[in-house]
Amino acid sequence: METHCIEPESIAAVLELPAGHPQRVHAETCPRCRSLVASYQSFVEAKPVAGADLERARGKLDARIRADAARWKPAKTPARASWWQSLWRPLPLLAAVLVVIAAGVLWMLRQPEQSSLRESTSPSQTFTLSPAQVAADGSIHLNWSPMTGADQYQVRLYGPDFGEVYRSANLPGTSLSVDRAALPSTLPPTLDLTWRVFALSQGDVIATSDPGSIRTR
Amino acid sequence: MSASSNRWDRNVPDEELLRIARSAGDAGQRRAAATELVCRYRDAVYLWCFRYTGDVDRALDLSQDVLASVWEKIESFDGRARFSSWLYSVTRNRCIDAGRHVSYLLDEDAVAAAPDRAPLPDTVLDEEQDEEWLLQTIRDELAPDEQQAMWLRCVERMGIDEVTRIMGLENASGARTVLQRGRKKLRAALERRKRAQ
Repeated sequence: METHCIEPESIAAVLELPAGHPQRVHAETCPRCRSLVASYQSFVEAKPVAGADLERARGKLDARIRADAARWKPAKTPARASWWQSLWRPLPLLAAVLVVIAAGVLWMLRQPEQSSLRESTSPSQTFTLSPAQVAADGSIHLNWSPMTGADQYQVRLYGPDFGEVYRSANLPGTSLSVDRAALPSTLPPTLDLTWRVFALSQGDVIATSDPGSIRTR
Repeated sequence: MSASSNRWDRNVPDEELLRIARSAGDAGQRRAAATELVCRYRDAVYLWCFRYTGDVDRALDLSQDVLASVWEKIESFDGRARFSSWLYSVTRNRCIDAGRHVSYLLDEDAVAAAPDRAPLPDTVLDEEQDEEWLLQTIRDELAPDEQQAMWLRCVERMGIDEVTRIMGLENASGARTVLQRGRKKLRAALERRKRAQ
Protein backbone atom coordinates (compact mmCIF):
# COMPACT_ATOMS: atom_id res chain seq x y z
CA MET A 1 0.00 0.00 0.00
CA GLU A 2 1.14 3.51 -0.61
CA THR A 3 1.93 5.55 2.43
CA HIS A 4 -0.42 8.49 2.40
CA CYS A 5 0.20 11.97 3.68
CA ILE A 6 -0.76 12.40 7.30
CA GLU A 7 -3.79 14.30 8.51
CA PRO A 8 -3.19 17.12 11.00
CA GLU A 9 -5.19 15.28 13.69
CA SER A 10 -2.87 12.28 13.43
CA ILE A 11 0.45 14.09 13.76
CA ALA A 12 1.03 13.38 17.45
CA ALA A 13 0.20 9.71 16.95
CA VAL A 14 2.57 9.45 13.97
CA LEU A 15 5.39 11.07 15.97
CA GLU A 16 4.93 8.38 18.63
CA LEU A 17 5.51 5.57 16.12
CA PRO A 18 8.84 3.70 16.11
CA ALA A 19 11.57 5.43 14.08
CA GLY A 20 11.43 3.04 11.13
CA HIS A 21 7.66 2.87 10.80
CA PRO A 22 6.70 3.68 7.18
CA GLN A 23 4.30 6.44 8.19
CA ARG A 24 6.85 8.12 10.39
CA VAL A 25 9.50 7.85 7.67
CA HIS A 26 7.04 9.39 5.25
CA ALA A 27 6.26 12.23 7.68
CA GLU A 28 9.96 12.99 7.94
CA THR A 29 10.70 12.95 4.23
CA CYS A 30 7.61 14.26 2.39
CA PRO A 31 7.86 18.07 2.12
CA ARG A 32 4.16 18.52 2.79
CA CYS A 33 4.17 16.30 5.89
CA ARG A 34 7.45 17.75 7.16
CA SER A 35 5.80 21.15 6.97
CA LEU A 36 2.83 19.95 8.96
CA VAL A 37 5.04 18.32 11.58
CA ALA A 38 7.12 21.48 11.90
CA SER A 39 4.07 23.66 12.24
CA TYR A 40 2.50 21.30 14.81
CA GLN A 41 5.70 21.34 16.85
CA SER A 42 5.72 25.11 16.65
CA PHE A 43 2.12 25.11 17.94
CA VAL A 44 2.91 22.86 20.89
CA GLU A 45 6.12 24.70 21.84
CA ALA A 46 4.18 27.98 21.99
CA LYS A 47 7.28 30.12 22.08
CA PRO A 48 6.53 33.79 22.78
CA VAL A 49 6.49 36.04 19.74
CA ALA A 50 7.58 39.68 19.71
CA GLY A 51 4.60 42.04 19.73
CA ALA A 52 2.10 39.38 20.78
CA ASP A 53 1.37 41.11 24.11
CA LEU A 54 0.86 37.73 25.74
CA GLU A 55 0.10 39.05 29.23
CA ARG A 56 -2.83 41.11 27.98
CA ALA A 57 -4.05 38.20 25.88
CA ARG A 58 -3.87 35.84 28.86
CA GLY A 59 -6.03 38.17 30.92
CA LYS A 60 -8.71 38.35 28.24
CA LEU A 61 -8.63 34.65 27.44
CA ASP A 62 -8.73 33.64 31.10
CA ALA A 63 -11.84 35.73 31.60
CA ARG A 64 -13.40 34.05 28.57
CA ILE A 65 -12.40 30.60 29.76
CA ARG A 66 -13.95 31.25 33.19
CA ALA A 67 -17.18 32.39 31.54
CA ASP A 68 -17.25 29.40 29.18
CA ALA A 69 -16.53 27.01 32.06
CA ALA A 70 -19.37 28.47 34.12
CA ARG A 71 -21.76 28.09 31.17
CA TRP A 72 -20.62 24.57 30.32
CA LYS A 73 -23.15 21.99 31.37
CA PRO A 74 -21.60 18.56 31.16
CA ALA A 75 -24.03 15.87 30.09
CA LYS A 76 -25.05 13.54 32.90
CA THR A 77 -23.63 10.65 30.95
CA PRO A 78 -21.06 10.94 28.20
CA ALA A 79 -22.30 10.78 24.61
CA ARG A 80 -20.80 7.41 23.87
CA ALA A 81 -22.17 5.79 27.03
CA SER A 82 -25.72 5.45 25.75
CA TRP A 83 -25.25 1.87 24.54
CA TRP A 84 -24.47 0.59 27.98
CA GLN A 85 -27.44 2.26 29.62
CA SER A 86 -29.51 -0.64 28.34
CA LEU A 87 -27.42 -2.92 30.55
CA TRP A 88 -29.20 -1.51 33.58
CA ARG A 89 -32.41 -3.21 32.55
CA PRO A 90 -33.11 -6.08 34.98
CA LEU A 91 -32.21 -9.10 32.82
CA PRO A 92 -28.93 -7.86 31.34
CA LEU A 93 -27.96 -6.56 34.78
CA LEU A 94 -28.59 -9.92 36.40
CA ALA A 95 -26.65 -11.69 33.65
CA ALA A 96 -23.76 -9.25 33.99
CA VAL A 97 -23.62 -9.72 37.78
CA LEU A 98 -23.55 -13.51 37.37
CA VAL A 99 -20.79 -13.30 34.75
CA VAL A 100 -18.71 -11.03 37.00
CA ILE A 101 -19.14 -13.34 39.99
CA ALA A 102 -18.25 -16.40 37.90
CA ALA A 103 -15.23 -14.68 36.39
CA GLY A 104 -14.09 -13.56 39.84
CA VAL A 105 -14.39 -17.07 41.27
CA LEU A 106 -12.54 -18.58 38.33
CA TRP A 107 -9.85 -15.96 38.53
CA MET A 108 -9.30 -16.56 42.24
CA LEU A 109 -9.15 -20.32 41.73
CA ARG A 110 -6.66 -20.13 38.88
CA GLN A 111 -4.38 -17.30 39.93
CA PRO A 112 -4.43 -16.88 43.69
CA GLU A 113 -0.95 -15.34 43.81
CA GLN A 114 -1.74 -12.46 41.50
CA SER A 115 -3.18 -10.07 44.03
CA SER A 116 0.08 -9.69 45.91
CA LEU A 117 1.99 -9.10 42.70
CA ARG A 118 -0.40 -6.37 41.72
CA GLU A 119 0.24 -4.47 44.89
CA SER A 120 3.88 -4.01 43.98
CA THR A 121 3.14 -2.89 40.46
CA SER A 122 4.11 0.57 39.37
CA PRO A 123 2.13 2.05 36.45
CA SER A 124 5.34 3.39 35.01
CA GLN A 125 6.77 -0.08 34.37
CA THR A 126 7.03 -0.92 30.71
CA PHE A 127 7.04 -4.01 28.59
CA THR A 128 8.20 -4.63 25.07
CA LEU A 129 6.76 -5.91 21.82
CA SER A 130 8.52 -8.44 19.59
CA PRO A 131 8.44 -7.74 15.85
CA ALA A 132 5.10 -8.80 14.40
CA GLN A 133 5.12 -11.83 12.11
CA VAL A 134 2.75 -12.12 9.17
CA ALA A 135 2.18 -15.63 7.82
CA ALA A 136 1.63 -16.53 4.17
CA ASP A 137 -2.10 -16.89 4.80
CA GLY A 138 -2.20 -13.31 6.07
CA SER A 139 -2.61 -14.16 9.75
CA ILE A 140 -0.71 -11.95 12.15
CA HIS A 141 1.32 -13.36 15.04
CA LEU A 142 2.12 -11.08 17.92
CA ASN A 143 4.28 -11.61 21.00
CA TRP A 144 5.23 -9.37 23.87
CA SER A 145 7.12 -9.57 27.12
CA PRO A 146 5.19 -10.18 30.34
CA MET A 147 4.40 -7.21 32.54
CA THR A 148 4.84 -7.63 36.25
CA GLY A 149 1.51 -7.41 37.98
CA ALA A 150 -0.57 -7.90 34.84
CA ASP A 151 -3.06 -10.74 34.89
CA GLN A 152 -4.37 -10.20 31.38
CA TYR A 153 -3.53 -8.38 28.19
CA GLN A 154 -5.58 -6.76 25.51
CA VAL A 155 -4.28 -6.15 22.00
CA ARG A 156 -5.57 -3.37 19.78
CA LEU A 157 -4.78 -2.86 16.11
CA TYR A 158 -5.10 0.49 14.40
CA GLY A 159 -5.49 1.21 10.70
CA PRO A 160 -3.58 3.73 8.59
CA ASP A 161 -5.85 6.52 9.87
CA PHE A 162 -5.28 5.36 13.46
CA GLY A 163 -8.84 4.24 13.82
CA GLU A 164 -9.13 1.01 15.78
CA VAL A 165 -9.68 -1.96 13.46
CA TYR A 166 -9.38 -4.83 15.93
CA ARG A 167 -9.56 -5.39 19.68
CA SER A 168 -8.80 -8.74 21.23
CA ALA A 169 -10.54 -10.30 24.16
CA ASN A 170 -8.63 -10.08 27.43
CA LEU A 171 -5.86 -12.65 27.13
CA PRO A 172 -4.05 -14.50 29.90
CA GLY A 173 -0.87 -15.07 27.83
CA THR A 174 1.67 -12.97 25.99
CA SER A 175 0.95 -13.95 22.42
CA LEU A 176 -1.88 -13.66 19.98
CA SER A 177 -2.65 -14.77 16.45
CA VAL A 178 -5.11 -12.70 14.50
CA ASP A 179 -6.76 -14.19 11.43
CA ARG A 180 -6.92 -11.86 8.50
CA ALA A 181 -10.66 -12.51 8.42
CA ALA A 182 -10.94 -10.84 11.84
CA LEU A 183 -10.00 -7.49 10.31
CA PRO A 184 -12.54 -5.37 8.44
CA SER A 185 -12.99 -6.63 4.89
CA THR A 186 -12.83 -3.06 3.60
CA LEU A 187 -9.10 -2.84 4.35
CA PRO A 188 -6.76 -3.39 1.40
CA PRO A 189 -4.70 -6.62 1.43
CA THR A 190 -1.39 -4.86 2.03
CA LEU A 191 -1.32 -2.11 4.57
CA ASP A 192 0.54 -0.74 7.56
CA LEU A 193 -1.13 -1.33 10.86
CA THR A 194 -0.09 -0.21 14.31
CA TRP A 195 -0.56 -2.36 17.39
CA ARG A 196 -0.48 -1.78 21.09
CA VAL A 197 -0.79 -4.05 24.07
CA PHE A 198 -2.62 -2.98 27.20
CA ALA A 199 -1.56 -4.75 30.39
CA LEU A 200 -4.48 -5.29 32.74
CA SER A 201 -4.83 -6.12 36.37
CA GLN A 202 -8.30 -7.05 37.54
CA GLY A 203 -9.64 -5.40 34.44
CA ASP A 204 -7.85 -2.07 34.92
CA VAL A 205 -5.17 -0.93 32.49
CA ILE A 206 -1.90 -0.70 34.41
CA ALA A 207 0.49 -0.14 31.51
CA THR A 208 0.47 0.38 27.77
CA SER A 209 3.19 -0.73 25.40
CA ASP A 210 4.84 1.52 22.89
CA PRO A 211 3.21 1.14 19.46
CA GLY A 212 4.51 -1.52 17.09
CA SER A 213 4.08 -1.74 13.36
CA ILE A 214 2.72 -4.50 11.15
CA ARG A 215 2.80 -4.69 7.37
CA THR A 216 0.09 -7.07 6.23
CA ARG A 217 -0.01 -9.00 2.99
CA MET B 1 -5.42 35.41 38.25
CA SER B 2 -5.34 32.42 35.98
CA ALA B 3 -8.52 30.68 34.97
CA SER B 4 -6.85 27.40 35.84
CA SER B 5 -7.82 26.04 39.24
CA ASN B 6 -4.26 24.74 39.78
CA ARG B 7 -5.66 21.58 41.30
CA TRP B 8 -4.19 19.43 38.57
CA ASP B 9 -0.55 18.54 38.42
CA ARG B 10 1.08 19.55 35.15
CA ASN B 11 2.18 15.93 34.78
CA VAL B 12 -1.37 14.64 34.53
CA PRO B 13 -1.61 13.70 30.84
CA ASP B 14 -4.10 15.46 28.58
CA GLU B 15 -5.81 12.15 27.93
CA GLU B 16 -6.48 11.66 31.65
CA LEU B 17 -8.02 15.13 31.91
CA LEU B 18 -10.08 14.37 28.86
CA ARG B 19 -11.23 11.10 30.37
CA ILE B 20 -12.36 12.88 33.55
CA ALA B 21 -14.05 15.67 31.59
CA ARG B 22 -16.00 13.09 29.60
CA SER B 23 -16.73 10.75 32.50
CA ALA B 24 -20.06 10.37 34.25
CA GLY B 25 -18.64 11.65 37.52
CA ASP B 26 -19.02 14.81 39.53
CA ALA B 27 -19.84 17.81 37.33
CA GLY B 28 -17.50 20.10 39.26
CA GLN B 29 -14.59 17.77 38.81
CA ARG B 30 -15.39 17.36 35.13
CA ARG B 31 -15.56 21.12 34.70
CA ALA B 32 -12.24 21.55 36.51
CA ALA B 33 -10.56 18.94 34.29
CA ALA B 34 -11.90 20.54 31.13
CA THR B 35 -10.82 24.00 32.32
CA GLU B 36 -7.30 22.76 33.03
CA LEU B 37 -7.12 21.24 29.57
CA VAL B 38 -8.25 24.45 27.88
CA CYS B 39 -5.84 26.54 29.98
CA ARG B 40 -2.93 24.29 29.07
CA TYR B 41 -3.31 25.24 25.42
CA ARG B 42 -4.40 28.85 25.86
CA ASP B 43 -0.97 30.29 25.02
CA ALA B 44 -0.37 27.85 22.16
CA VAL B 45 -3.67 28.71 20.49
CA TYR B 46 -3.26 32.44 20.95
CA LEU B 47 0.36 32.56 19.77
CA TRP B 48 -0.49 30.48 16.75
CA CYS B 49 -3.31 32.86 15.83
CA PHE B 50 -1.02 35.83 16.42
CA ARG B 51 1.62 34.40 14.08
CA TYR B 52 -1.03 34.10 11.42
CA THR B 53 -2.55 37.52 11.79
CA GLY B 54 0.23 39.64 13.29
CA ASP B 55 -2.54 41.49 15.09
CA VAL B 56 -3.38 41.13 18.79
CA ASP B 57 -7.11 41.82 18.49
CA ARG B 58 -7.66 39.54 15.52
CA ALA B 59 -5.60 36.83 17.22
CA LEU B 60 -7.74 37.19 20.36
CA ASP B 61 -10.95 36.88 18.33
CA LEU B 62 -9.71 33.79 16.54
CA SER B 63 -8.38 32.12 19.66
CA GLN B 64 -11.63 32.75 21.54
CA ASP B 65 -13.48 31.05 18.68
CA VAL B 66 -11.13 28.08 18.87
CA LEU B 67 -11.38 27.73 22.65
CA ALA B 68 -15.17 28.03 22.50
CA SER B 69 -15.24 25.13 20.05
CA VAL B 70 -13.31 23.01 22.56
CA TRP B 71 -16.13 23.43 25.08
CA GLU B 72 -18.65 22.50 22.40
CA LYS B 73 -16.83 19.40 21.27
CA ILE B 74 -15.06 18.08 24.32
CA GLU B 75 -17.76 15.55 25.16
CA SER B 76 -17.98 14.17 21.65
CA PHE B 77 -14.22 14.03 21.14
CA ASP B 78 -13.66 10.35 20.37
CA GLY B 79 -10.07 10.18 21.57
CA ARG B 80 -8.70 8.61 18.40
CA ALA B 81 -6.39 11.57 17.91
CA ARG B 82 -4.24 13.10 20.60
CA PHE B 83 -5.88 16.16 22.10
CA SER B 84 -2.90 18.35 21.15
CA SER B 85 -3.01 17.46 17.47
CA TRP B 86 -6.78 17.69 17.38
CA LEU B 87 -6.61 21.20 18.82
CA TYR B 88 -3.79 22.08 16.46
CA SER B 89 -5.99 21.00 13.59
CA VAL B 90 -8.94 23.08 14.82
CA THR B 91 -6.71 26.15 15.28
CA ARG B 92 -5.01 25.70 11.93
CA ASN B 93 -8.32 25.32 10.07
CA ARG B 94 -9.79 28.39 11.77
CA CYS B 95 -6.74 30.47 10.84
CA ILE B 96 -6.67 29.20 7.25
CA ASP B 97 -10.38 30.04 6.88
CA ALA B 98 -9.77 33.52 8.22
CA GLY B 99 -6.65 34.15 6.15
CA ARG B 100 -6.58 35.63 2.68
CA HIS B 101 -5.66 33.77 -0.46
CA VAL B 102 -1.94 33.55 -1.13
CA SER B 103 -0.86 33.11 -4.73
CA TYR B 104 0.95 30.05 -5.92
CA LEU B 105 2.19 31.91 -8.95
CA LEU B 106 2.76 35.60 -8.31
CA ASP B 107 5.64 36.91 -6.23
CA GLU B 108 4.87 38.63 -2.95
CA ASP B 109 5.83 42.08 -4.23
CA ALA B 110 3.49 41.85 -7.24
CA VAL B 111 0.54 41.05 -4.97
CA ALA B 112 1.44 43.82 -2.52
CA ALA B 113 1.58 46.37 -5.37
CA ALA B 114 -1.91 45.56 -6.67
CA PRO B 115 -4.42 48.48 -6.67
CA ASP B 116 -6.78 48.46 -3.71
CA ARG B 117 -10.13 48.00 -5.45
CA ALA B 118 -9.13 45.84 -8.39
CA PRO B 119 -9.49 42.07 -8.05
CA LEU B 120 -6.21 40.83 -6.68
CA PRO B 121 -4.09 39.57 -9.57
CA ASP B 122 -3.11 36.46 -7.63
CA THR B 123 -6.74 35.44 -7.18
CA VAL B 124 -7.48 35.91 -10.87
CA LEU B 125 -4.38 34.09 -12.04
CA ASP B 126 -4.75 31.23 -9.59
CA GLU B 127 -8.46 30.81 -10.30
CA GLU B 128 -7.63 30.30 -13.95
CA GLN B 129 -5.55 27.28 -12.98
CA ASP B 130 -6.63 23.91 -11.75
CA GLU B 131 -5.42 23.70 -8.15
CA GLU B 132 -4.80 19.97 -8.47
CA TRP B 133 -2.49 20.69 -11.40
CA LEU B 134 -0.69 23.34 -9.37
CA LEU B 135 -0.15 21.02 -6.41
CA GLN B 136 1.00 18.18 -8.64
CA THR B 137 3.40 20.52 -10.43
CA ILE B 138 4.77 21.69 -7.10
CA ARG B 139 5.49 18.07 -6.23
CA ASP B 140 6.99 17.27 -9.63
CA GLU B 141 9.01 20.37 -10.43
CA LEU B 142 10.15 21.95 -7.19
CA ALA B 143 13.06 21.10 -4.91
CA PRO B 144 12.10 19.87 -1.41
CA ASP B 145 12.82 23.24 0.26
CA GLU B 146 10.78 25.06 -2.40
CA GLN B 147 7.91 22.60 -1.94
CA GLN B 148 7.98 23.11 1.81
CA ALA B 149 8.02 26.91 1.51
CA MET B 150 5.17 26.87 -1.02
CA TRP B 151 3.17 24.54 1.16
CA LEU B 152 3.55 26.66 4.28
CA ARG B 153 2.94 29.95 2.49
CA CYS B 154 0.21 29.12 -0.03
CA VAL B 155 -1.66 26.23 1.57
CA GLU B 156 -1.09 26.89 5.27
CA ARG B 157 -1.16 30.65 4.55
CA MET B 158 1.59 31.47 6.98
CA GLY B 159 3.41 34.78 6.89
CA ILE B 160 6.86 34.96 5.31
CA ASP B 161 8.51 35.43 8.71
CA GLU B 162 6.80 32.36 10.10
CA VAL B 163 7.79 30.25 7.08
CA THR B 164 11.36 31.48 7.51
CA ARG B 165 11.32 30.56 11.20
CA ILE B 166 9.79 27.11 10.73
CA MET B 167 12.21 26.25 7.93
CA GLY B 168 15.16 27.48 9.99
CA LEU B 169 16.40 29.75 7.20
CA GLU B 170 19.09 32.16 8.27
CA ASN B 171 19.79 34.20 5.14
CA ALA B 172 18.63 37.82 5.09
CA SER B 173 15.76 37.33 2.67
CA GLY B 174 14.50 34.24 4.49
CA ALA B 175 11.79 32.27 2.74
CA ARG B 176 11.18 35.06 0.21
CA THR B 177 14.02 33.87 -2.07
CA VAL B 178 13.00 30.22 -1.83
CA LEU B 179 9.41 31.14 -2.70
CA GLN B 180 10.51 33.33 -5.58
CA ARG B 181 12.56 30.44 -6.99
CA GLY B 182 9.64 28.04 -6.62
CA ARG B 183 7.15 30.40 -8.24
CA LYS B 184 9.49 31.01 -11.15
CA LYS B 185 9.59 27.26 -11.81
CA LEU B 186 5.81 27.06 -11.52
CA ARG B 187 5.33 29.89 -14.01
CA ALA B 188 7.72 28.19 -16.42
CA ALA B 189 5.73 24.98 -16.11
CA LEU B 190 2.53 26.93 -16.75
CA GLU B 191 4.04 28.44 -19.91
CA ARG B 192 5.02 24.98 -21.16
CA ARG B 193 1.52 23.74 -20.44
CA LYS B 194 -0.04 26.63 -22.39
CA ARG B 195 2.22 26.02 -25.39
CA ALA B 196 1.35 22.33 -25.37
CA GLN B 197 -2.42 23.01 -25.38
